[in-house]
Amino acid sequence: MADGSEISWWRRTRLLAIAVLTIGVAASMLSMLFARTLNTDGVAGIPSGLIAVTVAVPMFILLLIFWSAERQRRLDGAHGYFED
Amino acid sequence: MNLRGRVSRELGKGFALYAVAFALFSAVVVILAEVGLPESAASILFALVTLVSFVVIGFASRTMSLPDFQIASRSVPAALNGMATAAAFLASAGFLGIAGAFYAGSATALGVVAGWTLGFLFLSVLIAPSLRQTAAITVADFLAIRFGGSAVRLAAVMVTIACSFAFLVAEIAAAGQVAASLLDINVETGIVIAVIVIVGGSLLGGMGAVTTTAIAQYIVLAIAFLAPVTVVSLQHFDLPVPQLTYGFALQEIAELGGAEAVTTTNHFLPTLRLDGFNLCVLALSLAVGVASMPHIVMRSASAAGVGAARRSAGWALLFVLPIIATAPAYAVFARLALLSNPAAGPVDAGSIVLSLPEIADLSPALTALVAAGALAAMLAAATALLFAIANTIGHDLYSRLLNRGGPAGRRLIVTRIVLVAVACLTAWFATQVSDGIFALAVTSASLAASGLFPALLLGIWWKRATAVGALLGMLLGFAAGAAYVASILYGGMTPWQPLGSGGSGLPPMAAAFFGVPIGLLAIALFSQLSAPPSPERIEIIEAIRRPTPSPFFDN
Repeated sequence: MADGSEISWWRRTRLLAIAVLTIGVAASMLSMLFARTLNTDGVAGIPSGLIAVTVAVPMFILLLIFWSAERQRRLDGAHGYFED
Repeated sequence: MNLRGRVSRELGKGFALYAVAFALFSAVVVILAEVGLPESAASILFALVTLVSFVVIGFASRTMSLPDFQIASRSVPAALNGMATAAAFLASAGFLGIAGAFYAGSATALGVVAGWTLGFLFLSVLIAPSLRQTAAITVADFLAIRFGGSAVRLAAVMVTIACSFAFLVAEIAAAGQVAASLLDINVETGIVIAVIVIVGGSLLGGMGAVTTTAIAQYIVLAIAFLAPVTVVSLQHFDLPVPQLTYGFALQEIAELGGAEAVTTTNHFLPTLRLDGFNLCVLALSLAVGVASMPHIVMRSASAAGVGAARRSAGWALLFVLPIIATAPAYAVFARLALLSNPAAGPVDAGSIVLSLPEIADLSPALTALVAAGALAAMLAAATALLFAIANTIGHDLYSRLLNRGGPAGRRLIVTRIVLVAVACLTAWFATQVSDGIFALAVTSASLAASGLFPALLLGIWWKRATAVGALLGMLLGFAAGAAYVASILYGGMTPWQPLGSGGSGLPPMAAAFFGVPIGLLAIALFSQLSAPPSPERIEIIEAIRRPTPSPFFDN
């Protein structure tokens, strides 16, 4: 059965997952929903909405994945869970 | 073959050399085509060099070790795993479809890009770490470890096969068509050649070979996809960065005005008018689909650790990004070229990637290069799908249900026999199919999500989920998703418009909108109605969650 440390670790893991997923879903959905509005402006001729959906948000989510993996690794280590 | 450490570094150097060699080879063929090499010769060269290299690389990864064959000894570093995942993931929809959807001005493109991107996030955070921790061989294996019992395993096997087979047939049919056009042979022969390459690349090496050939296939498809648009960008705007210069092309299109005739059909992705709600539903359906497709999810199981499994999804997205970011450039450059040269149109949206070299008046050898890249993408996906089906039949059905405790050597032989048998069956279906198979194939992710995502998600994140709940959740969720798909594709039903809004309604590829909530509700309800998990089961669940040096359940 899980002890206090494991319960604490799992609670923090869940919170991290919820936070990361909420941020990622919000960024994706908002960029799609507001793409048309953003398209009235552009960068180097490319509509901003298109940049947001095809470049900015995917890159943001890419960074989010690596950041979350590193945060989780540190969280695991702080509670004594190591792979090596 | 253990792919860690020194082997990984050697492999990295080897594939870097492969990339340089293929780029140089492509440049030489294009130059030769400019000075008189016939287009047919260029096509044959690209086809033969790539196909033979895939088989040779697969053969070089041969093994007689069962863990090597099934799961690459769980040793694949994150970056290599990510590249292999990207190749298997992109398939024809990624290589040909997404650019076509942008070209058709379809909202599908936005939803697909958002869905794919989110899917890798879902995979990294929700599914991959625990799946790797269990050391499961297949998705069905993982669910059986988590929930116990044979019924859950069997249901997961059925869902795996159901959601993967149509996709596999579609990819092989498409690969056969591309191979036929490259080699100037009939489509049936093209299909046979595609299947021979797939089987040759995976039969002896299993997951290790699937991984190494997929890396080679990614290199080919990336070079092939980026080359033509880069040349167009350089020729028109003196900058080899199409992801930037297509903005200048958009300005030119605005100045030229007018509209060119274009058909909007796109085999590989539908062209839809979608309002905000439907777009979000499509994106979320695809996201949970990416996190559920067995041939994608199981790449996590071959990662070199729980942390590597998380990062693999990030690396996969990194390698998919150049395709996503460049797809609009294809659409825009093609439109500009057709405005300048209307005689070259109309062009089917699904063919825009293959057609750009011709309509932009580039070397015909570049058309052959792009076709070789499309073939590589299709073969990567087909190999991964075939292996997922063969592995689940060989491991889950044969080794775990029919002949538990059989010797490892026999299990290896049986899985290889199954792989060849499924390949032959798929080839036969591929010669019989109509274009309707592509419409079914694009629903595969949603069907996988409907059947598997609720059980995967709640199996990891909710201790109270029971085997009874998971079994019924899988069956009811899949049935709901499949019913929606079948009603539209074969029953003549119009896509549902939940908010009564305008536009195309929820397409079949968003069937997870029905399947996932029904699956989740079923698991929640029937888990509460059945006996709670035993203390031993609770310990298994807790062990699945905790990262440790050794896999929890070594098969």
